Amino acid sequence: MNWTVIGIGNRFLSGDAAGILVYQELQQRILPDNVSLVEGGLMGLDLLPFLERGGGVIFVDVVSGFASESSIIVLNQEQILCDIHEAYSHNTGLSYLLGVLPKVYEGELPEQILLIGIEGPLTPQLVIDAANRVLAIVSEDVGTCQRNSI
Amino acid sequence: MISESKIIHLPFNRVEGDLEITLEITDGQISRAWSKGTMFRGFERMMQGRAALDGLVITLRICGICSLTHLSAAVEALEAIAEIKPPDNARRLRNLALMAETIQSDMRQSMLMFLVDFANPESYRHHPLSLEAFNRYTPLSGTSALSAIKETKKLLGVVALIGGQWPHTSFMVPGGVTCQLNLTDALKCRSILTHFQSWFETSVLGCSIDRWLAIDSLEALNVWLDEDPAHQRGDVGFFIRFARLAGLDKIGRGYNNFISYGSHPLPSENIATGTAQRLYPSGFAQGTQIMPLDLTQIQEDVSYSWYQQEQPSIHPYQGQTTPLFDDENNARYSWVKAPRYGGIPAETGPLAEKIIGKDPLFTNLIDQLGANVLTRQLARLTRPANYLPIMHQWLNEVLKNPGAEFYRPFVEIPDGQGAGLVQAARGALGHWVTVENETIKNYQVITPTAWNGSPRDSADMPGAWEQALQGTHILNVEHPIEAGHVIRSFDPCLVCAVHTVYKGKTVGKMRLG
Repeated sequence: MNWTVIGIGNRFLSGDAAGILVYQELQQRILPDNVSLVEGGLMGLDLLPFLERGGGVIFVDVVSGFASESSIIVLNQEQILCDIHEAYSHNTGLSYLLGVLPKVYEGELPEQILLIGIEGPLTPQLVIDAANRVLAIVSEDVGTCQRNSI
Repeated sequence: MISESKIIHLPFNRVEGDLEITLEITDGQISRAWSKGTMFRGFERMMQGRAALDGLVITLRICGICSLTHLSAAVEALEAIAEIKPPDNARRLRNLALMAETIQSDMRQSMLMFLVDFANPESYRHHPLSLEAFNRYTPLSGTSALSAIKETKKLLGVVALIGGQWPHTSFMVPGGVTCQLNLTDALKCRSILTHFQSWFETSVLGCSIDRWLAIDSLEALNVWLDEDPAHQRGDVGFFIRFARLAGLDKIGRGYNNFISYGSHPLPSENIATGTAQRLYPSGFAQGTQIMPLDLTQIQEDVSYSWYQQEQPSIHPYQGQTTPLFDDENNARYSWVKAPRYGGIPAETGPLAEKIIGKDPLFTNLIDQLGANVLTRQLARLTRPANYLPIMHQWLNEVLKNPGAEFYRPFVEIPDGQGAGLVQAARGALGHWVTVENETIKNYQVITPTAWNGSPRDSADMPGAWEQALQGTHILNVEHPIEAGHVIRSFDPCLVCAVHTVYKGKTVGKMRLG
């Protein structure tokens, strides 16, 4: 399966930069050739085109209140959406994006959507662990490795 | 540590609290308001000492919604310093991309951020149009909300085809653009625009653009609203009907002062006409009395802002961005400076653009009613009617001249000063740049939200929306939706939280996007 890995966050806000730091960490790694790496930043709804091409999608983002401090949690789409109530704003988050996706998509929906959630405070090791977690997921059905980032 | 859990408790994601509005309520109406920018950003400081061209990559990161307008202002400032004029096709491509970005912002703000409040059952369950509003604008399910997401996503394809990506493309460079639009991509752009215009006319206006632009007064607007059920069904007609019943034409007046830097420099050979080589003119207006814009009259005041500078109020060329982290002056309350024109606060945005551009309908609305929430938001909701026909014209001109020059080489940006002044989606945006010894000595940015959401100044004059909030009746202090309407009508660019204060206590909170 092809995977799209999207790091989300704001590199100028330390409390919201984790997804971008993991994106940067993955840029330095050798990625399987079935993986596309995307700097999602604060694109919000403008990430929709990356969710309309099938395959699997892994978001990496900061979470709050999910787990103990400085830990990583993996959520599936159902878990992300189970408490959705978010309205749109300039800093629209992942739950809004995924909530609206089935109603506005025009290509092929992803077969699987996962969130690698990083609970702060952030540490350098946590960034490495999250990148390893991404690679463990995408490498399960992959043989050849090749750096492939966009 | 890695763990997996089924604990689910949203929200997560974005950090909030960029802007806080504190309201003082007296006898059921807002007596005073304070607009507090809660975040220091300091992009101006990042620019100091960098190469002159670095602004073309860095400053557009100021905003993920209107990054092209920051790029445009940065480019125009450098072109002013180097006295470069881009070729006609570069002008057309820049304008096309900018207009596409502005229209997507207008539509998303209107459908997803302003009109969503009409679907709030807590506030409007007794409104006669509440059920229809709920069906149209409820988040994640409203018909108009979902169609706006679909259509604006497609429209941004125009920016991607011209600029290679969106947001944060750097395709505008001093002297022109980085590449010409090939025939295939130009035809794709035409297809996207045609499709978008069809949706806009059918769903949003409920009539043709030509019919809408024929409306020249409040009376003519009322005739239009009653002449065809389709006019009432469109989002514009529905907005007017709902907003009038909710009294939105009676709140949010403000100073009735407007400022616009003008927009969209015209190609030398084109069908579109404008003023002073721009499609929309610059100017300052008090009511509908319009005066030419004197750029020397623009100053930023920091009397109530957490900054230090040599004088309380200075022109952006002399402006400084020196934060005050520890100050004995407890009166300061915002990280936003207070832009003023000749010492006078003014609002900016699509309404200002239309007033200073002498749009007959909006001139008449201001003459009869003054600024208010309904008029301000109507200007934004209908702005695509002004832009789309021009976009088709410029695209056709590009198609007629596919091999035309799109870039004029230059050697370097010389030392000097230049200002890039554009009309962003939210209004007047300016970049003031000083280059010395091939590097940036000073860089000052005044955003539209600084004009609209500024704190008080040395004369204790409130900012534009601080003033517009005063006098607004609040039905439920625990959920001050009327205040939300007033602030949203300015389209704030910062995540915003409204706090209602009553007898020294915060009793109500409301989050705005």
